[in-house]
Amino acid sequence: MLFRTTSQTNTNQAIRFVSNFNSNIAKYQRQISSGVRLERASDDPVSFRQVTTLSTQLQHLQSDALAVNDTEAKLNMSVLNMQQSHDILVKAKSLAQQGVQANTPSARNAIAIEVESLLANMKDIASSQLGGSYLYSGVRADQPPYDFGDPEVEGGPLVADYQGASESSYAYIGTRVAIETFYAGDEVFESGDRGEMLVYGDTGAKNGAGTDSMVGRANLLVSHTLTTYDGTSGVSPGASSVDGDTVLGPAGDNQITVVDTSGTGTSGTVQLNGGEPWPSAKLRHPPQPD
Amino acid sequence: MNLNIGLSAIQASQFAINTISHNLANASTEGYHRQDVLLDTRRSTIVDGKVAGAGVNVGQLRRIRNNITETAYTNSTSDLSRIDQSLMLESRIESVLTVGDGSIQDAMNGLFDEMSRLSANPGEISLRNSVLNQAGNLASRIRETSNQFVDIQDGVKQQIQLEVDTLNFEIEELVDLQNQINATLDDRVPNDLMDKRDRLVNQIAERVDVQRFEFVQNNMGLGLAGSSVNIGMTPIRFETVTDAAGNIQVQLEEGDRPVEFAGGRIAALLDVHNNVIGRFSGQIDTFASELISQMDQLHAVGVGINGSFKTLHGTRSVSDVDLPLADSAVFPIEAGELFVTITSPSGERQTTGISIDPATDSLRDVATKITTINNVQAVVDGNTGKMSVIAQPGYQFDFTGRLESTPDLAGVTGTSIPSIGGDYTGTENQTYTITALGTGEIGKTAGLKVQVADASGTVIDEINVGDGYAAGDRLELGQGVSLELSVGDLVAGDNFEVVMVADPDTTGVLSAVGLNTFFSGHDARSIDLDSRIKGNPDAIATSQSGDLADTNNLKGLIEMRNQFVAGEGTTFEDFLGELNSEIGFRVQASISVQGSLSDLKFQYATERDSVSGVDVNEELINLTQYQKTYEAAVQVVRAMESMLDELFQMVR
Repeated sequence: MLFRTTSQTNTNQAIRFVSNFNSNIAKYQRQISSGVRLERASDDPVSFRQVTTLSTQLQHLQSDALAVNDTEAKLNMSVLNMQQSHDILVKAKSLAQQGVQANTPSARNAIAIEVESLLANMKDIASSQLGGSYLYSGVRADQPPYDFGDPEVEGGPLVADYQGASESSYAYIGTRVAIETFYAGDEVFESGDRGEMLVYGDTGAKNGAGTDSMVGRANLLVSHTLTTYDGTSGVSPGASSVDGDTVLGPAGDNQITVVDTSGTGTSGTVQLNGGEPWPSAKLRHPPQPD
Repeated sequence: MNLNIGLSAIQASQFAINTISHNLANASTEGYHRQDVLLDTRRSTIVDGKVAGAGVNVGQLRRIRNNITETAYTNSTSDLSRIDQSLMLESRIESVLTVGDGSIQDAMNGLFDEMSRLSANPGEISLRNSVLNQAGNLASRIRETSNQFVDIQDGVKQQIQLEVDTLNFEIEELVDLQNQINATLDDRVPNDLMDKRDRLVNQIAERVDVQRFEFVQNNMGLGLAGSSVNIGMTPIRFETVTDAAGNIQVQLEEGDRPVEFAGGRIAALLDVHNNVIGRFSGQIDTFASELISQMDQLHAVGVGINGSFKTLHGTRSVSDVDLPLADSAVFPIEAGELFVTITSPSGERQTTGISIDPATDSLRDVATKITTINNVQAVVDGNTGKMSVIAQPGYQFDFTGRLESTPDLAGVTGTSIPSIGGDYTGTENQTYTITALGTGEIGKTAGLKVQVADASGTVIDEINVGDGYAAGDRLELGQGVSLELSVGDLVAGDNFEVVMVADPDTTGVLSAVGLNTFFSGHDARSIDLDSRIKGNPDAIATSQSGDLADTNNLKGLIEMRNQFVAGEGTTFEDFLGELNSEIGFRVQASISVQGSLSDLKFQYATERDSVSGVDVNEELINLTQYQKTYEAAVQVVRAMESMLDELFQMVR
């Protein structure tokens, strides 16, 4: 069907087409200026959704990369520490072998000085920090992992009390990956394996019947709290009994025999459990009449 | 007589030329219908017994118009106006929701990313501050979005009122115009008034859907809103009313039922105001509410790097402290258990669970139950509807549900002391009962065992603690929990419980009453950072122990981005993308419909113009034709004059 075409129709058509073209030109100009093809979801909802999802993932990956970098720094430092620890242990073993063959005090002193140095290095490793946080305190990373003290007896083992946490700290990369960052020092530096307990020295002690629960090295200290005497014995604990005497055993196990050789109580012997009599210069005097 | 014929021809030509001039003058006038002169042959006369022509009359001044096209054009005007208006407002909503820098999605991604980084550097104060900044930014962006929706809705409301007022004015004008047309004498067709009426109808069609009925003698009826309202000889008026839900309805002033418009701007405005904005702002509210509720719940069961609490004040109110929580709390609460962990001055932890049923328990009841736990007290303020929890001096409390350091030993008579260690990694709350299966000395007695049974009595394991077990060694109970037994003896039948808590608050009550929360507020308009952590990054509950590098609770917060928004079937991370897609598809569909309707309207306009439009060339040709007719008629008159002169000469 042929329509009458008026000049107004032509004008309207021209305006409409120009308007459409201008709209497209503006759209493409905007895309050129911004460098972005999809500015709004309505430009292409499906593609826009994909782009949005990918952008979000990219943002997460960038963030994860930062977290991985931070974590990697800690792991690298731990790896270095472990390598150094290994070297120290190798060196310690070597020194131990040298020590067996060291015949002179000066040689043993030299080895001792070297051992002290290794111990100091080991302490430093155990107390490693990164960014102000201790690597081996577990989740308690703001506190040093070990409280190091002097040996309780000369030549005794180094005192190292673990005061960190038994739980390691984790960094979360995304929502599925958890990486240990701050390790629990007791797991890193302390062996969980337990062998048969060995008692060194002339202690008179031996392993008991039960399951050994000893961990590490320790000095065996056998002590008593108080010595008591039978009420009719006439003997009473001295002022230094608690700290000074070494009498051990349950009540009735020990027997003291006092012999007054002078007959006046001024001298005699004291005997413990039938052992060698101990001469006493002065036994307690009984009350003397005036 | 012949002079009259010529004269009639001159008059007819003049009239026609005037009409052509009028057409040319209105060639660009919107809504003008070209006019056409219909000439009518004068009644013949009898001359000398013969029928002789008597000249020409102007029969009718016709307005060229096609009813079908006009009706289609009016209907398309109404449809296009509606979609234009919808598209404009939907585009504005799309702009509010658009994903990109500074969007809600961007802010949320930033928050979770910073939390992830914090997990790698839990002691870094700048990262803790960054988490707070991102969270504040997210809350601020959500509030802004909500406010923008309110602004759009307010603007639409004003626009509806303006459109209705203008519609009333136009209806009044239309009735007045119709009355003027009706008052015109029958032989004087008021073409220009009818053009004006057509223009007015099309203006009304831009506001509402109209149905036009043409009657004889230039009469016209107009139905609005599917002809549910008809305009007669007297004007009608519409008014807007707002219902209890805040929806706007348009109804007749004397009516009591809303008028359902199907087309025009008013229909679009009402739809956007009552449905579209509500849909999207409601979704943002749902998002915000779920974000607050879930994140607060995760935050509430952790502690910051300063550890447990001496006092916590709830930040969310219930409507009535004596009403069941199901009817008074701002967030939904489910029946379940809340575990409260008390830490003594010596560091011993005791975890106690209380049962809460929102159908029967009020906030005051919950406070009473908490107060039954030793060394902690909960108080309720009836005026504010809030609850506070206070520990006894020297004690601290939290809701981490951590393993008790030493279990309740009421059922133990032996001298060996059990202690519990590790972190429970199970996904459900469980209680194991440990029972001595014999009497003997730890680490010595052969065959001495303890039995591990779950709450249903099912035996999980039997573990040797006699000969072969080193007192103090860890015994793995599974799922991260270990047991140690000190040197001493066990007596057959001795038992104690190990309470293992995966979810310390299965009820959601902590979030609902605002104890140790991350956010304050309860929806998109009120969301903000909780005042306790604002400016206090140490209070971010990243841990369950209070240790600096404990990131156990942070893990849950990070994983929240992949948690589902309740009732929506989508994760937090996808929620906004889905919402964006929804408005994107909506706008795209509207653009498509707009394009079609625009083409259709243009087509109808072209058809209308092809019938009613003024073609200048055509008019000029007609002008030339009537000019020639005029000149010929003048010649006729001159010839008659000459003939009469000749005749008069003969008579003289």
